[in-house]
Amino acid sequence: MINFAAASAAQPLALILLAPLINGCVKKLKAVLQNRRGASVLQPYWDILKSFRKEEAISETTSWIFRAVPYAVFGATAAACFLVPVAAAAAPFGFAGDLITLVYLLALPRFFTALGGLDAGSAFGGMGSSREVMIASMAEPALIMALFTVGVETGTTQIDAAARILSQGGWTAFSPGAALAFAALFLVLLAECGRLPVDNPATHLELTMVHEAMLLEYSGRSLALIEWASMIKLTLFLTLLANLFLPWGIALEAEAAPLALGVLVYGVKIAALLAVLAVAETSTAKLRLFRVPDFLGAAFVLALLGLLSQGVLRLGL
Amino acid sequence: MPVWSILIAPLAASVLCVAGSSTAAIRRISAAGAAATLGMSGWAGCSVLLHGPISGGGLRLDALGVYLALIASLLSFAASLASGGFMEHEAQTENLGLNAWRVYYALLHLFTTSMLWVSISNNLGFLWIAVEATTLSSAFLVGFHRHHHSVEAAWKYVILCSVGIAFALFGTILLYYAGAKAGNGHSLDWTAFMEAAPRMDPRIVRLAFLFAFLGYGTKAGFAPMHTWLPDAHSQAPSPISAMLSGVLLTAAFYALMRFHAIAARCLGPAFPSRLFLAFGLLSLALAAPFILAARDYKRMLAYSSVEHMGLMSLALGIGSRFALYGMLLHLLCHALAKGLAFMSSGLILRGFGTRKITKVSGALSALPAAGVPFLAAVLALSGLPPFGIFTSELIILSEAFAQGRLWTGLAALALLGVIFAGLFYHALRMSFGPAREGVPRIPNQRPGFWEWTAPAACFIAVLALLGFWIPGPLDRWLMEMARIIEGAAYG
Amino acid sequence: MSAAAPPFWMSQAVTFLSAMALVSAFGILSLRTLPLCIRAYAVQSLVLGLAAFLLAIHPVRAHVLGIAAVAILVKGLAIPWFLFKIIEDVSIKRETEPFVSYPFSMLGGVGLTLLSYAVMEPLSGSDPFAARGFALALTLMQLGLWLMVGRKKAVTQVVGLLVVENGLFVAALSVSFGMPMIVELGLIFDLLVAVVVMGLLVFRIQSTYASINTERLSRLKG
Repeated sequence: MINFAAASAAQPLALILLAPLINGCVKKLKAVLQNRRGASVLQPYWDILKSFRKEEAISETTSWIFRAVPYAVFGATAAACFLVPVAAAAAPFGFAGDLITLVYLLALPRFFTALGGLDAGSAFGGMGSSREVMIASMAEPALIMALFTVGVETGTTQIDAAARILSQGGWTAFSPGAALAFAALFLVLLAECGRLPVDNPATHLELTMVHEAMLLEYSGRSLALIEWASMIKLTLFLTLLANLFLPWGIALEAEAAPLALGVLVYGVKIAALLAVLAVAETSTAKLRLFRVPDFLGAAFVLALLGLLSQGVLRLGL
Repeated sequence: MPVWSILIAPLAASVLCVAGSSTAAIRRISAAGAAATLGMSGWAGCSVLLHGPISGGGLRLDALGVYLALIASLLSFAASLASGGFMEHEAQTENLGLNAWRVYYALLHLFTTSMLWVSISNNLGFLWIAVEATTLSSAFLVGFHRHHHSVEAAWKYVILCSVGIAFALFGTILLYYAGAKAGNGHSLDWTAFMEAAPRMDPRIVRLAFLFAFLGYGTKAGFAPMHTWLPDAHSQAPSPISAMLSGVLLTAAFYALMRFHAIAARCLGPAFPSRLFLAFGLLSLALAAPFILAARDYKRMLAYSSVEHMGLMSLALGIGSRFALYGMLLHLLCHALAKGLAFMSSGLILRGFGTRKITKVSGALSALPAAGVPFLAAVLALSGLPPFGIFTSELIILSEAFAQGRLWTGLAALALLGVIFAGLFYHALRMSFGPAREGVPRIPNQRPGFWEWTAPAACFIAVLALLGFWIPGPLDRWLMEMARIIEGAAYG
Repeated sequence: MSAAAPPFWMSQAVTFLSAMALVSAFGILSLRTLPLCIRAYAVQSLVLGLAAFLLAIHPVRAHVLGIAAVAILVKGLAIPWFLFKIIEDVSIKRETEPFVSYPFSMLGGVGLTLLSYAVMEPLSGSDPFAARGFALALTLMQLGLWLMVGRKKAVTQVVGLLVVENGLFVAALSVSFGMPMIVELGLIFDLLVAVVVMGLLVFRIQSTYASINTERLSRLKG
């Protein structure tokens, strides 16, 4: 007999700790797809550790905001982890927030990162911030509508309750609205987590940077926290995709067998999504910045159709 | 005699033209094939009028169908004869080989086949396929010249007509659904629909009719879906233009008449009538300024086709039996006059080497073989008295007033007046006055007597005759067809 | 409906496939290069062919099975192959070149989708199955038309027409008792001929204009 509360409390911690591993896996997969050997999947851990040990240099022109940003970013992202079910359909702080809170918790780090980019007063930081905000202003409506599609379908905005309802519903989770929302959310993931074709996480050219440009002034522990937070964000999105759109197999009660199965199934689903992500990133080239609105427009339309298909558009044959 | 046997002659002619060994042989085959087609249609016509409709296997030939078949074979016959001179000219100026002759004549007869197929289709699915086949078989005829303009025209023609016709198929499918729900035995036959029409769900039939109207209306050249029409008609070789305008538009309109009959029986006449009136008036209104401001005489004739299709649509909208009578008479007269006008405009184009109205003058004296029929045809088209179109327009307009559609009638009258002025002005400019130097350009190419002069004279004579005398059999025939379109006769 | 209703997963799968057809139509609207558009069209045709296949196996309807097979072969494989051959032979630039911007064409597409469902609304009371099918059919037709209006390239206009035709295929499928076999085969044959005719015309446009941009096809006026 395992305490369900304890098991569910372990989930957000696992998410936070596993995030660098998942990131490492994406990098490794991409490397394999591009016929490179690639770094070890554990490399992100060493990177974070290395940054933590390094001395931090802070520009004299910056205000307190600049120093507060890493903590706010990491804090908000980590808090979001507490709202999301992972292997069991339970979230330890589900009572404290739902899908809407989640969207805001994801918006908060972006707001702070943008401020941090501006605060140092460097040209690249400002450029990165303005780009990030432009992308966000179009990604967020799509994100909200994709999540609401699930909300309307399940009749709840509680994420753990939604995952439970969906996994109990069997084939009903396999609906056109869910498919559309899934596609939309995947496109939003690419934009929000700074992946190709919107942003290249591996670029070294400042002029093409979006997310990285805002972080140019950060070093040491601050940089480590922000990087870690962005890895958590990617993991969070993947978990959302896995549990809201492929809900089957998630543990519904606190028995050892379902929990073990839940963990196993979660691993499989994440692995599959990682593979899709890696393939998508390898097979596309980065978009010009002014094409990004078109890209997110597509995500928006998909999400809109998904939401509409819950009411007006009764799809089918 | 099975119904499909009227397709044999044009189909055989098409195949034989491909096998023709010389230009002279191809011309002979084509003329013989067209004559056989006309003969078969005439024979089928007599048989239908005397013994009632022939049917079998989704095909059916009734009084209305045979009317279309006769008009199609008549114009195809004339066009096939007139094509000889055209192709000879093309062969000299464009350096065409024997293969071009084969393709041209084969497609011409294929085009005729597809239009005859329209006329015998009782199954609305076949009807749709046949109408689409008319587009596909004539696409390369429209683009025959391979010049910039004709390729452009052919492209617009295929794309617009195909997409339009797709909506017509959607309407057909909806109608099929409504019919099957009303228990017409899962049939697509027009007769089955007519029988089941009073039981069909009016909401579905309304939608079905709307889509069919948009689809076939595009092909019939109703404004504002007419944009392909002036391009295709002006760029196609002139004998083909004659067939496009005289028969192709009529064939699409024929499909609309069939749908109208079903819709009127199910929904009552009000809904289809409103559509026909609105699009008819719109077509008239749109054609008028373009005819007034025309610079290219073939485009002027094309816009005149939009006008006449609009007028027929108006008559169908008025919907009284006598208005339908006038409409059907108009159908015949328009086909004859427009065919004549396009074919003679082809001769003018050959003689003067230009499409510009302002550059043509003195056609009557310089090129009497082209100028006389052209003037006669355009005067007929403008609705001048000695010709049949005057009679039919008079019937249609007087019916508009008699049915209490005062404003519709007045608007149509005013627009017809404007169009009359435009056509009259342009035709007179082109016909009279001194001819330019060096016209005709190729003097040794006089059109032959049997190939052009005799048929043209016959067309003019018939047009003039219909102006003041409608023979008894034709009168009864028109009445019978009017009853079919009304939805009163379908058995 | 029929007494033996198909298993739930099957109808759910058909619903899912129809959503995929809609998504691929929007994909064609939003994609920028011709090869991608043609692939999206192929996906749409295959998805619809698969849906027809599922609809035909329970209850078994042999002629729908046949039509599904022909549709998959002709529309999913032959026509895309032919289109690829065309764009290869006339060696054109890959961009689709819109008249209307991509986001606007997407939003316009959503508007047209809603319009289609609104038009078919009166049907949904008596027969929701048919109403859904007809609405999807009309949606695809309008999206195809919208694509034809909004793009300059001749090949994109052909793709638009093909999407319209896929809409018709959906309409024929939604008549639950099926269209007569001969008519459906006629339609597919007709489509094949139409594509060949248009392909040849594209070659002609290319050889007379040295471009397949339909914007140049605007000399005929008045």
